Amino acid sequence: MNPSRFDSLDAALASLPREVRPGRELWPEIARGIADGVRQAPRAAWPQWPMALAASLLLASLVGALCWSVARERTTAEILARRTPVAGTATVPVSLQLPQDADYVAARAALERTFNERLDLLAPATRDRVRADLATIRKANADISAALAQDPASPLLWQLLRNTWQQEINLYTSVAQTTQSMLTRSTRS
Amino acid sequence: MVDVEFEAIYRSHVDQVYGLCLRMTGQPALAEDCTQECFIAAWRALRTFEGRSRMSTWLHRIAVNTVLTLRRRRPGDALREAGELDEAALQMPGGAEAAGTLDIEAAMGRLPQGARDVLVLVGVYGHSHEEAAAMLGIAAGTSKAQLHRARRLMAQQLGIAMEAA
Repeated sequence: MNPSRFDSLDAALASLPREVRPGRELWPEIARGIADGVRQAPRAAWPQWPMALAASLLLASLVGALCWSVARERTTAEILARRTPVAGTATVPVSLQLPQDADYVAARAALERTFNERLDLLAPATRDRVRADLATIRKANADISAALAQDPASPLLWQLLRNTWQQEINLYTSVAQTTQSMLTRSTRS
Repeated sequence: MVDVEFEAIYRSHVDQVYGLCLRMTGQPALAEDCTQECFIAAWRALRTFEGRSRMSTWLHRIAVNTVLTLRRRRPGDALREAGELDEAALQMPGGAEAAGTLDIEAAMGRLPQGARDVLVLVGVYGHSHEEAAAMLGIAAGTSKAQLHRARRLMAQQLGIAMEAA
């Protein structure tokens, strides 16, 4: 294609009027649309509130389910620990891992999913601190589990193990609640 | 009550925004809808206008986004893939010069959508490829390729028209 032909085409395009007058006055409808939007703005925010409330209630129910499951697991674990005849014998504790109750597993999974989804909403420094805390909790859990394998009758170790589970749940809950308030604020503005 | 200053912004930019919408949609009624939606969206986003770009560039960005949204909302319905620009909608001064302008407008209206969008933004409204690409959600290289395609098709169309005349 001849470049000069493009040059003249470019010149012709550039010389086209950029402004074209609409066939009718558009402002009245625009002003009405803006005014309607201003009036509707508070209503538009309303549908977000039930969702935020539902999310908070869901979070509360998840935490409640987890606490109940951990409490029930503690009873079982203590009974098992009391029944273990002698520390250091070959008896393997049943519950060195997380409680396997179906409700607990589902609730914990949901909370962990929320935690992972919302971690990126935190400021980088906070996010790093949360990750470091989680790593510390999990390391403690692994160490205590190893100790319990050697001393399954120790009530203190069982208590410490339960504490690590609870600390992990507390961390998940804390992140979920913090980011929930951030999400709620963003839906208000 | 809508700010008087915003109405002044509307008055000074509406013809350019409408011209852009008309050339991208090819239909006056749709261009009017897009123009209205553009200014309503601009009012809502006015707080975010930081003055880093010119007001006209900012409005063009909103207008293009409005047209693209309308296309997604009404695919193949009100917006044509390619077709004739309604020449009657172009209210321009009469005479031979206007007749030549209408040839170019008509040829532009027959371009495929992607090529026409880039030609309108870069060729007529003077945006850079980077600006046009950002507005259209495409790569700058794609914008350049579309412009080349548009110019080639336009030259063919206008060449044929000139020979026939």
